[in-house]
Amino acid sequence: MNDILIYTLTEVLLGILVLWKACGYMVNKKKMAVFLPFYFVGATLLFHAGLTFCQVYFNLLWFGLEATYVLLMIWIAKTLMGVNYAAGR
Amino acid sequence: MPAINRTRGKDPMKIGRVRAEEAAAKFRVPCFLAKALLVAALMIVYFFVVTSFFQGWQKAKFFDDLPDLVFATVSITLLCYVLCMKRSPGDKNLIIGLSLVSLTKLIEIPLQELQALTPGESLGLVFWEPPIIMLGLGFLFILQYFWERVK
Repeated sequence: MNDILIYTLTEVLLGILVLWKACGYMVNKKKMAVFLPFYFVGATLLFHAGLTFCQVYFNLLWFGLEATYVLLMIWIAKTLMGVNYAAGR
Repeated sequence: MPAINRTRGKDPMKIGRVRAEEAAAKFRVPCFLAKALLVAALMIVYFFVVTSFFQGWQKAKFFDDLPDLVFATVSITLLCYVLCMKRSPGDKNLIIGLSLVSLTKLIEIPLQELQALTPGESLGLVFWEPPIIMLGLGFLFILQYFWERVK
Protein backbone atom coordinates (compact mmCIF):
# COMPACT_ATOMS: atom_id res chain seq x y z
CA MET A 1 0.00 0.00 0.00
CA ASN A 2 2.84 2.33 0.90
CA ASP A 3 4.47 1.65 -2.49
CA ILE A 4 1.31 2.51 -4.38
CA LEU A 5 0.89 5.71 -2.34
CA ILE A 6 4.40 6.94 -3.22
CA TYR A 7 3.99 5.92 -6.88
CA THR A 8 0.66 7.74 -7.09
CA LEU A 9 2.08 10.85 -5.44
CA THR A 10 4.98 10.95 -7.93
CA GLU A 11 2.57 10.59 -10.80
CA VAL A 12 0.24 13.29 -9.46
CA LEU A 13 3.20 15.66 -9.03
CA LEU A 14 4.42 15.02 -12.59
CA GLY A 15 0.88 15.33 -13.98
CA ILE A 16 0.30 18.65 -12.21
CA LEU A 17 3.72 19.91 -13.37
CA VAL A 18 2.97 19.06 -17.03
CA LEU A 19 -0.55 20.56 -16.77
CA TRP A 20 0.71 23.73 -15.08
CA LYS A 21 3.53 24.28 -17.59
CA ALA A 22 1.27 23.52 -20.59
CA CYS A 23 -1.36 25.99 -19.32
CA GLY A 24 1.30 28.63 -18.66
CA TYR A 25 2.84 28.22 -22.11
CA MET A 26 -0.59 28.33 -23.78
CA VAL A 27 -1.33 31.63 -22.07
CA ASN A 28 2.14 33.18 -22.55
CA LYS A 29 2.66 32.20 -26.19
CA LYS A 30 -1.03 32.50 -27.15
CA LYS A 31 -0.65 29.23 -29.09
CA MET A 32 -3.26 26.79 -27.88
CA ALA A 33 -2.96 24.16 -30.63
CA VAL A 34 0.73 23.41 -30.00
CA PHE A 35 0.46 22.95 -26.24
CA LEU A 36 -2.99 21.31 -26.09
CA PRO A 37 -1.69 17.70 -26.40
CA PHE A 38 0.55 18.32 -23.36
CA TYR A 39 -2.48 19.50 -21.40
CA PHE A 40 -4.12 16.14 -22.15
CA VAL A 41 -0.88 14.30 -21.30
CA GLY A 42 -1.00 15.91 -17.84
CA ALA A 43 -4.68 14.99 -17.48
CA THR A 44 -3.96 11.40 -18.57
CA LEU A 45 -1.11 11.14 -16.05
CA LEU A 46 -3.53 12.21 -13.30
CA PHE A 47 -6.13 9.71 -14.55
CA HIS A 48 -3.42 7.02 -14.59
CA ALA A 49 -2.58 7.92 -11.00
CA GLY A 50 -6.23 7.60 -10.00
CA LEU A 51 -6.59 4.17 -11.61
CA THR A 52 -3.35 2.96 -10.01
CA PHE A 53 -4.40 4.21 -6.58
CA CYS A 54 -7.73 2.39 -6.83
CA GLN A 55 -5.87 -0.64 -8.28
CA VAL A 56 -8.18 -0.81 -11.29
CA TYR A 57 -6.37 -2.89 -13.88
CA PHE A 58 -9.29 -4.17 -16.00
CA ASN A 59 -8.09 -5.13 -19.45
CA LEU A 60 -10.27 -2.86 -21.58
CA LEU A 61 -9.97 0.16 -19.26
CA TRP A 62 -6.20 -0.14 -19.05
CA PHE A 63 -5.95 -0.68 -22.82
CA GLY A 64 -7.96 2.51 -23.36
CA LEU A 65 -5.70 4.47 -21.03
CA GLU A 66 -2.53 3.29 -22.77
CA ALA A 67 -4.13 3.96 -26.16
CA THR A 68 -4.75 7.54 -25.03
CA TYR A 69 -1.01 7.99 -24.55
CA VAL A 70 -0.42 6.62 -28.06
CA LEU A 71 -2.97 8.99 -29.60
CA LEU A 72 -1.44 11.95 -27.76
CA MET A 73 2.03 10.96 -28.96
CA ILE A 74 0.73 10.76 -32.56
CA TRP A 75 -0.81 14.22 -32.07
CA ILE A 76 2.53 15.61 -30.86
CA ALA A 77 4.31 13.89 -33.78
CA LYS A 78 1.86 15.38 -36.26
CA THR A 79 2.46 18.85 -34.81
CA LEU A 80 6.22 18.34 -35.06
CA MET A 81 6.11 17.09 -38.63
CA GLY A 82 3.52 19.50 -39.97
CA VAL A 83 5.51 22.57 -38.94
CA ASN A 84 9.25 22.11 -38.97
CA TYR A 85 10.19 24.51 -36.17
CA ALA A 86 13.84 23.47 -36.37
CA ALA A 87 14.10 24.76 -39.95
CA GLY A 88 12.49 28.04 -38.91
CA ARG A 89 9.43 27.68 -41.11
CA MET B 1 -2.30 14.94 -69.12
CA PRO B 2 0.78 16.52 -70.73
CA ALA B 3 3.73 17.33 -68.51
CA ILE B 4 4.26 21.02 -67.76
CA ASN B 5 7.63 22.37 -68.84
CA ARG B 6 8.73 24.34 -65.79
CA THR B 7 12.29 24.82 -66.93
CA ARG B 8 11.67 27.15 -69.90
CA GLY B 9 13.45 30.49 -69.62
CA LYS B 10 14.95 29.83 -66.20
CA ASP B 11 18.43 29.92 -64.78
CA PRO B 12 20.01 26.44 -65.05
CA MET B 13 21.22 26.58 -61.44
CA LYS B 14 17.70 27.39 -60.34
CA ILE B 15 16.30 24.53 -62.41
CA GLY B 16 18.57 22.12 -60.59
CA ARG B 17 17.49 23.48 -57.21
CA VAL B 18 13.81 23.28 -58.11
CA ARG B 19 14.23 19.69 -59.29
CA ALA B 20 16.11 18.79 -56.12
CA GLU B 21 13.35 20.34 -53.98
CA GLU B 22 10.68 18.44 -55.91
CA ALA B 23 12.60 15.21 -55.49
CA ALA B 24 13.04 15.88 -51.77
CA ALA B 25 9.33 16.56 -51.35
CA LYS B 26 8.51 13.37 -53.24
CA PHE B 27 10.88 11.12 -51.31
CA ARG B 28 10.49 12.51 -47.80
CA VAL B 29 7.24 10.73 -47.03
CA PRO B 30 8.23 7.27 -48.39
CA CYS B 31 11.52 7.49 -46.46
CA PHE B 32 9.59 8.28 -43.30
CA LEU B 33 7.18 5.41 -43.93
CA ALA B 34 10.09 3.05 -44.57
CA LYS B 35 11.64 4.10 -41.25
CA ALA B 36 8.31 3.61 -39.47
CA LEU B 37 7.86 0.14 -40.99
CA LEU B 38 11.43 -0.85 -40.10
CA VAL B 39 11.00 0.33 -36.51
CA ALA B 40 7.63 -1.48 -36.28
CA ALA B 41 9.24 -4.69 -37.53
CA LEU B 42 12.05 -4.31 -34.97
CA MET B 43 9.46 -3.72 -32.22
CA ILE B 44 7.62 -6.92 -33.15
CA VAL B 45 10.91 -8.85 -33.00
CA TYR B 46 11.65 -7.18 -29.62
CA PHE B 47 8.23 -8.28 -28.33
CA PHE B 48 8.80 -11.91 -29.33
CA VAL B 49 12.34 -11.95 -27.90
CA VAL B 50 11.32 -10.38 -24.58
CA THR B 51 8.24 -12.56 -24.06
CA SER B 52 10.25 -15.70 -24.86
CA PHE B 53 12.22 -15.09 -21.62
CA PHE B 54 8.99 -15.19 -19.59
CA GLN B 55 5.77 -17.08 -20.41
CA GLY B 56 5.98 -16.97 -24.20
CA TRP B 57 4.06 -14.69 -26.54
CA GLN B 58 0.85 -16.72 -26.24
CA LYS B 59 0.46 -15.77 -22.56
CA ALA B 60 1.75 -12.18 -22.88
CA LYS B 61 -0.16 -9.26 -21.35
CA PHE B 62 -1.40 -7.99 -24.71
CA PHE B 63 -3.62 -5.23 -23.32
CA ASP B 64 -0.55 -3.66 -21.75
CA ASP B 65 2.10 -4.62 -24.29
CA LEU B 66 0.41 -3.64 -27.57
CA PRO B 67 -0.07 0.07 -26.76
CA ASP B 68 3.47 0.18 -25.36
CA LEU B 69 4.81 -1.28 -28.60
CA VAL B 70 2.87 1.25 -30.70
CA PHE B 71 4.00 4.07 -28.39
CA ALA B 72 7.64 2.95 -28.71
CA THR B 73 7.27 2.65 -32.50
CA VAL B 74 5.90 6.19 -32.81
CA SER B 75 8.51 7.74 -30.52
CA ILE B 76 11.51 5.89 -32.03
CA THR B 77 10.35 6.74 -35.59
CA LEU B 78 10.04 10.36 -34.57
CA LEU B 79 13.49 10.20 -32.98
CA CYS B 80 14.94 8.90 -36.28
CA TYR B 81 13.11 11.69 -38.12
CA VAL B 82 14.47 14.34 -35.76
CA LEU B 83 18.01 12.97 -35.99
CA CYS B 84 17.82 13.19 -39.81
CA MET B 85 16.52 16.77 -39.73
CA LYS B 86 18.69 19.84 -40.06
CA ARG B 87 20.14 20.30 -36.57
CA SER B 88 19.80 23.36 -34.39
CA PRO B 89 20.79 23.95 -30.71
CA GLY B 90 17.28 23.51 -29.30
CA ASP B 91 16.92 20.01 -30.75
CA LYS B 92 18.80 18.53 -27.79
CA ASN B 93 15.70 18.79 -25.59
CA LEU B 94 13.56 16.99 -28.15
CA ILE B 95 16.10 14.20 -28.63
CA ILE B 96 16.47 13.68 -24.85
CA GLY B 97 12.69 13.76 -24.36
CA LEU B 98 11.94 11.27 -27.13
CA SER B 99 14.76 8.98 -25.96
CA LEU B 100 13.39 8.97 -22.40
CA VAL B 101 9.84 8.29 -23.56
CA SER B 102 10.83 5.46 -25.91
CA LEU B 103 13.19 3.93 -23.32
CA THR B 104 10.37 3.97 -20.74
CA LYS B 105 8.11 1.99 -23.00
CA LEU B 106 10.86 -0.49 -23.88
CA ILE B 107 11.58 -1.05 -20.16
CA GLU B 108 7.91 -1.44 -19.25
CA ILE B 109 7.32 -4.48 -21.49
CA PRO B 110 9.67 -6.89 -19.62
CA LEU B 111 8.53 -5.44 -16.28
CA GLN B 112 4.89 -6.22 -17.11
CA GLU B 113 5.84 -9.73 -18.14
CA LEU B 114 7.77 -10.16 -14.90
CA GLN B 115 4.78 -8.92 -12.93
CA ALA B 116 2.52 -11.42 -14.73
CA LEU B 117 4.61 -14.22 -13.20
CA THR B 118 3.54 -13.13 -9.70
CA PRO B 119 -0.27 -12.87 -9.85
CA GLY B 120 -1.94 -10.72 -7.24
CA GLU B 121 1.25 -8.90 -6.37
CA SER B 122 2.97 -5.82 -7.77
CA LEU B 123 6.70 -5.69 -8.39
CA GLY B 124 7.19 -2.82 -5.98
CA LEU B 125 8.33 0.76 -5.97
CA VAL B 126 11.93 0.14 -7.08
CA PHE B 127 10.76 -1.30 -10.40
CA TRP B 128 7.91 1.05 -11.29
CA GLU B 129 9.16 4.41 -10.04
CA PRO B 130 12.00 4.97 -12.62
CA PRO B 131 9.80 4.41 -15.72
CA ILE B 132 7.09 6.83 -14.61
CA ILE B 133 9.67 9.51 -13.70
CA MET B 134 11.33 9.00 -17.10
CA LEU B 135 7.95 9.29 -18.87
CA GLY B 136 7.07 12.52 -17.07
CA LEU B 137 10.52 14.02 -17.62
CA GLY B 138 10.44 12.98 -21.30
CA PHE B 139 7.17 14.86 -21.85
CA LEU B 140 8.57 17.87 -19.96
CA PHE B 141 11.66 17.90 -22.21
CA ILE B 142 9.47 17.78 -25.37
CA LEU B 143 7.34 20.59 -23.89
CA GLN B 144 10.51 22.63 -23.26
CA TYR B 145 11.51 22.17 -26.92
CA PHE B 146 8.16 23.59 -28.07
CA TRP B 147 8.50 26.47 -25.58
CA GLU B 148 11.87 27.41 -27.06
CA ARG B 149 10.87 26.97 -30.69
CA VAL B 150 7.33 28.38 -30.98
CA LYS B 151 7.32 32.08 -31.71
